[in-house]
Amino acid sequence: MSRLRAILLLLAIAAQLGTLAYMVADKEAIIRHGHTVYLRTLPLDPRDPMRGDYVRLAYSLNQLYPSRLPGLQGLVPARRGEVVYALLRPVGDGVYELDGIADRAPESGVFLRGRVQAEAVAGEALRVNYGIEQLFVEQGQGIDIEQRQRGEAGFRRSMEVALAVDEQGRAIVTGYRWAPLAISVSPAPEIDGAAATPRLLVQLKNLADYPLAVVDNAEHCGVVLTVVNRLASSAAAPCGRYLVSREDIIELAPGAVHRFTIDLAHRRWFVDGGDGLQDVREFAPVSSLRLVYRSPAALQEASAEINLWRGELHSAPFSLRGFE
Amino acid sequence: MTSDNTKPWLRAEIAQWLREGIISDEQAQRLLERYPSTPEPVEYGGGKGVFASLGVLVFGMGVMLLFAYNWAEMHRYAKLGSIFFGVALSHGLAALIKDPRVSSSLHLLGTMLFGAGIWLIAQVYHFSAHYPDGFLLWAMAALLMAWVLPSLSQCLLGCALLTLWSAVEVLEFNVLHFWALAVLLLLQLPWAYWQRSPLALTVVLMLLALALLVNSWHLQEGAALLHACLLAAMYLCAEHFSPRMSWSGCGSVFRRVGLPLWLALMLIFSFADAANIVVQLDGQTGAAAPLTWSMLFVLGAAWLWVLLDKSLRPRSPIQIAECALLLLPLLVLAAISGGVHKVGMIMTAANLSVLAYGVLFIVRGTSSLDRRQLVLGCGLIVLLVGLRFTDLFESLLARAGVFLLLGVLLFLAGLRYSRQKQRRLQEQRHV
Repeated sequence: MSRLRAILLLLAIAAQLGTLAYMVADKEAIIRHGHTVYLRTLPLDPRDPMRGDYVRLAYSLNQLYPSRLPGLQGLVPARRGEVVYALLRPVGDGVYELDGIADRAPESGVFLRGRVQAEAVAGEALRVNYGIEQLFVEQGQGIDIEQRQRGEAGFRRSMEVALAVDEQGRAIVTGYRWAPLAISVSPAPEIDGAAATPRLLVQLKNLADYPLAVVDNAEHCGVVLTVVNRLASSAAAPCGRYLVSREDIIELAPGAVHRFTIDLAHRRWFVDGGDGLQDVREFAPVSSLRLVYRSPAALQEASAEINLWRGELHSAPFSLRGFE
Repeated sequence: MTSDNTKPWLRAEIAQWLREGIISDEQAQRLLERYPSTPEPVEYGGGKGVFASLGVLVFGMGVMLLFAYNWAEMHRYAKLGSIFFGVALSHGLAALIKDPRVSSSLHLLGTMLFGAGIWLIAQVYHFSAHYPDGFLLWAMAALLMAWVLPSLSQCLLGCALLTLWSAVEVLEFNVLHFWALAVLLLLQLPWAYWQRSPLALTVVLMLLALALLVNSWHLQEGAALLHACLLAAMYLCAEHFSPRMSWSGCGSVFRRVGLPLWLALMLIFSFADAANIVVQLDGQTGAAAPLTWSMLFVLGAAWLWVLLDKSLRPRSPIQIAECALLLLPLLVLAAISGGVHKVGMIMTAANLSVLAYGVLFIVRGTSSLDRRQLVLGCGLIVLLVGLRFTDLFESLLARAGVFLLLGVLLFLAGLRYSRQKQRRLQEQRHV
């Protein structure tokens, strides 16, 4: 082998090792110097032939609806492949949620750098990926995670994914934990032998080993009914901006459950898909629905003395057909 | 023509003409001098090297799957360290070992472990960015090694990964992606020529066709068939340039890849549905039109060169017939792209092309006592008649007639082959 060829070979080998080293160093820098945030997810369980089992992670910030989010209307139509920045705000216990969207990196705060995967057309969501949508696990663990996430004894809890986020908004998944609050939705027991309307039994359970508080009132303003993959949710009225009173706060001891029943025939649970309020039985007779428990923002300052659970908790999807 | 393996036949014929007094000894000598070289045999590399490379590939895949299990108990630094150590050790040992085969295999193992490293890093850091980029990185590493060493196995790995990268970009991410095509054409085709490697050239030509098919399909539905046809015609045209090249053996490789592709496409175009797809393409303003016309232009220029250049021009009747068989469907496709919307034209040209190729193979097979060509020719004609059995001949009488004709043709082919063989045996006895 000639001297020149030997040098070129050495460079080619160095390029291989250097590429791998660069990839590792880049990620390690984010882990070491990045800000740690937790995002709540809805995982699934596929497998990658090259990298083994992984849990596909879906975040609320993957699907952005222009009408719901500050900053997004100016960005739409963002083209596929364009870079966008999801601004995050803390909701407590290290958990962050989406606060806005921008086309330039903010000068401060925590934000994620993402790329548009699908443009928003005709009222649909803008789909954005942040490179944090996969969690690789040891073979077999993916199914365990999925089963746990679906719910133990019908109670679904959120997986909270730990991310290291650097100053440029690049993020790496570093781990996960389970939210301490779980939700269950099931057909309510029939009264006097027959139910005239679809009624749901909603249960919130404290799975932590410490007391936890949730909010609820007569109108169940802490809960919203949404139609999966459609921009439609139950009416804000009569709750409006839910201002929580002290009586609405329910403290749950470890393992305790708060139960209430809702009647979907009631106007409170009518959904607005853009054409005014409609009975969900007519609007989405076969679509999947979710109940979302949301801790009201108005309480956050006054809740220092109680351990109020904050953020959003999505129920498992259900269909009205299952309740008829 | 490298493919015209006529020397044994020519010797027998010249001996016969001498006996019959048609030509003099001097003329016979001049005729033999006119066709001095037999085609270069196509060598596809040693078996040992191929098996060693396959072993390394399988071993590398095993390492990938081992890491794909994702050992939760193993710290990420241990995983990463083992892959770094593996890459360095493989290349290091390869540099120390003198045996070129073992050294090449170890370098290939190093590149396989580099690929495993890319996926391992993605796994360790839960990295879900655009994953085809992993194939690109891996392909570039393999191709770099292919050029530096040089190594056939690294070239094949790199080309395969490059095509996979392009296919994933097109099929999964719906992105038009001609980069792999450009790299194959501009880097790996010259590499195969530089290394005089029939295997590398065969693989590159096949992958070029595959990458073009995938992209053309994405560009405009139906354009893939047309572009594949034009590419096959380019390969067959390239064969004619081989006498001018320093590696004349490359001509037979172009033919080995181009001819099966061409015949397969002619068989496809003999169906109305396939012909209709091409007719419905908008040749003037469709998304695939620029590529179609570019290919037609290059092909037209190349054929014009072949026909005008005395040293490249086909001479024997068989060579002329074969050129006509190529040019007829091409002219039809050009006319269709130009706006002549006739399904029947394509079907007729395709049927005629397959039929004529069948006859051509039979003539060649019986003349040069090449049993393979004879079987291929008979097989093509039987296949064509079988395909047309349902969609062309509705009358039972017509079907019966066609089968009778086919039977007679096959009988005559067998008879001619047998007579040629007897004559050759008699000549050998006289000599």
